[in-house]
Amino acid sequence: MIELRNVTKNFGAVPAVFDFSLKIESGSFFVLVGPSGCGKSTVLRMINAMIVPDKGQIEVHGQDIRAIEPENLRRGIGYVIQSAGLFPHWTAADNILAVPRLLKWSASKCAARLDALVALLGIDPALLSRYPRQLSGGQQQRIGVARALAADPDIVLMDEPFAALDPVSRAALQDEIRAIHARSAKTIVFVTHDMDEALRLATGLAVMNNGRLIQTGAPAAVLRAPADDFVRGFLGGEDLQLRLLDLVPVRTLMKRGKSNATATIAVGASLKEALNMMLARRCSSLCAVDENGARLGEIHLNDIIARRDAI
Amino acid sequence: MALMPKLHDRVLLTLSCLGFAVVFSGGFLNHAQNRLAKGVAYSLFQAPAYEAAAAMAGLCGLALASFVRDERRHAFATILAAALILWGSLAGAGHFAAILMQAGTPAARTSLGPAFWILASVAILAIVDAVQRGNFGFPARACIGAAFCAGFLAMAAVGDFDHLALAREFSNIRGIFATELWRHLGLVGAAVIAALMIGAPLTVLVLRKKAMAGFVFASLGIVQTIPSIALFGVLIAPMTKLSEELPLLRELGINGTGPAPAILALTLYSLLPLVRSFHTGLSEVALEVKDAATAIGFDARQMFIAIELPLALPALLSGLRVVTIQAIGLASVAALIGAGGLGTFIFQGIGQYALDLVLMGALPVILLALLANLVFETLLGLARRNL
Repeated sequence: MIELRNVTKNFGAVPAVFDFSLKIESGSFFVLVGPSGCGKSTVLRMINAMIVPDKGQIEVHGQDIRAIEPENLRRGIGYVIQSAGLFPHWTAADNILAVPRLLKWSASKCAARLDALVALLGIDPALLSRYPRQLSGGQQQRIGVARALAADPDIVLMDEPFAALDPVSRAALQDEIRAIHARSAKTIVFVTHDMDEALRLATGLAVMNNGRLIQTGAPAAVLRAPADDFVRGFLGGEDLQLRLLDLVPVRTLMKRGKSNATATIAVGASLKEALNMMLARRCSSLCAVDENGARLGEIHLNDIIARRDAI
Repeated sequence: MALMPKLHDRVLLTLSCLGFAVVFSGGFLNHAQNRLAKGVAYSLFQAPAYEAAAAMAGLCGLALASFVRDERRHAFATILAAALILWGSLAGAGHFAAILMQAGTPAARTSLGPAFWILASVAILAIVDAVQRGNFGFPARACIGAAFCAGFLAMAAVGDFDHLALAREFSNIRGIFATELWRHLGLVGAAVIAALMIGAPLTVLVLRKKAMAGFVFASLGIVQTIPSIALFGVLIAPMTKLSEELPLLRELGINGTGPAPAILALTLYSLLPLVRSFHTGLSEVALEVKDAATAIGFDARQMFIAIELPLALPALLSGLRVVTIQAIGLASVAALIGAGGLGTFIFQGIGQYALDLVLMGALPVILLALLANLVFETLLGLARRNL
């Protein structure tokens, strides 16, 4: 668990974070969103003591971080930044093993961990002997994520890690980090200004503006009841309803039974995708199918319109 | 149009034209009755026929090679032609001098003229250019260099150069040449090591305390503007005084003249370029890389050794290269205050109006500088390999 209590940080006369309190439960995928310069990166960097707050207290696993050597604290917390920040004079493998080597793991333990990470993140083993400049942006960021996970930390901090990537690499890495999170008990604190990315990944969401916490909660809860106009605007204003549909799978609203609809959609797809499909096929009902193609039931346009408030 | 071959290497053609021009206009050898007398100039065409013909054939070959399109063949043709020019000129000069000296008195001097020097330069430049364009690997470069050195030494050993004034001057100073060469290297080595020992902590100071940077660079800049002869001279008085006051220094052999003030002056000159390049190199290590290193748990010492130092290494080596080459040149002046070194021959030569003796000091200094450059280039290549 990570807890920030009444944390304030000024850079010179400029306030960056003001009286900020937040509790991040263990095992959550917690996303901090807000416009550029709202202080979200500062919050992230205070968690691993890269920035020391002027006031307030930060606890990690119930321990005040001021009581821990900063280097030891950081070796136990993974960290990924936008540009990957790989060491240009080290091969991909050396970059990945940076923290295990700082922790003086044995060579055999390092080798075993490297194999595990390569499998986990789907890294082409041929890339391991290359230098960062010989890798594409997506490959570099994959190595960056592997480096953050190398020593198997409980907590991983990610500062707009996928912002500079092309949409295909970004989506692939988002899927992978979500899968890794689902399989492990890791706490991930993720900073982004991209609302779609936040909604795709988050189990917990905090919206920040001007160094303050505006609203926090589960993504659906925040979408359903934005605290104020700023949050409403940031969440997408007019698009808000569509975003809500994006959070709900077809399975929750479909009627089980026979369907005469010709167009099909996966039960795991979101209501937004279902709506999109209806618009594309010019029909008002779809047949919901499972991953084997078995026809499970039907979803109708009226269900989406009528039942959305129940989401 | 098919008969008009296409020019491939303008530089090479220009070099060969320069060679032709100087052969027809300049003196190849200069023969005088003694060191001071005004001599008579002889052209390459008066030299023994085979050697002169070889040099001329080399020049023609160089001109033709500039039309060869294939880079590899171009390089081989150029090196072959340049070798002909070089060996033709060297052998021509040596053998011609032997003929001229048979007629003359023992005090007579046969010096190398401008045509010789320019021909030799043309040949060497052509070789260097060919090696670079041919994209030869390090072993090939080393072999070519070694072959030319071996050829030169073999000719010297056989006595081909014995009648040239340079060789005569060399045989006069043979006994002390090695001593002065080592003394020169000693001055340079001591100054560079001292500059490193002062410069490294100074760099750390400037990096840590930004406010000090202006002051440090300004002070070192002022030292840099003092003419070298003046600085060597200025140090004599205070160093003499110090040596008189402190018997310990006197026992160590440190006083107003000799190697101590020379090393001090060379060190002072080395500090600015050294600290500047160290400072630039270390402060240009990408911020995001240092940030990432801190964020994953590197402490300051680990960061310096594993990240900053290797990434700044090319800049550090460049700084050392500048400082070393500068010190090799400046150390010549140290002979003026009795520190010895190759400058001794230069100043003796000037005093005796013996230009060949001046060359005996100047040529090794140039060769040392080139050698230092080569060594640092190789190290830089290694350091940049993975960056």
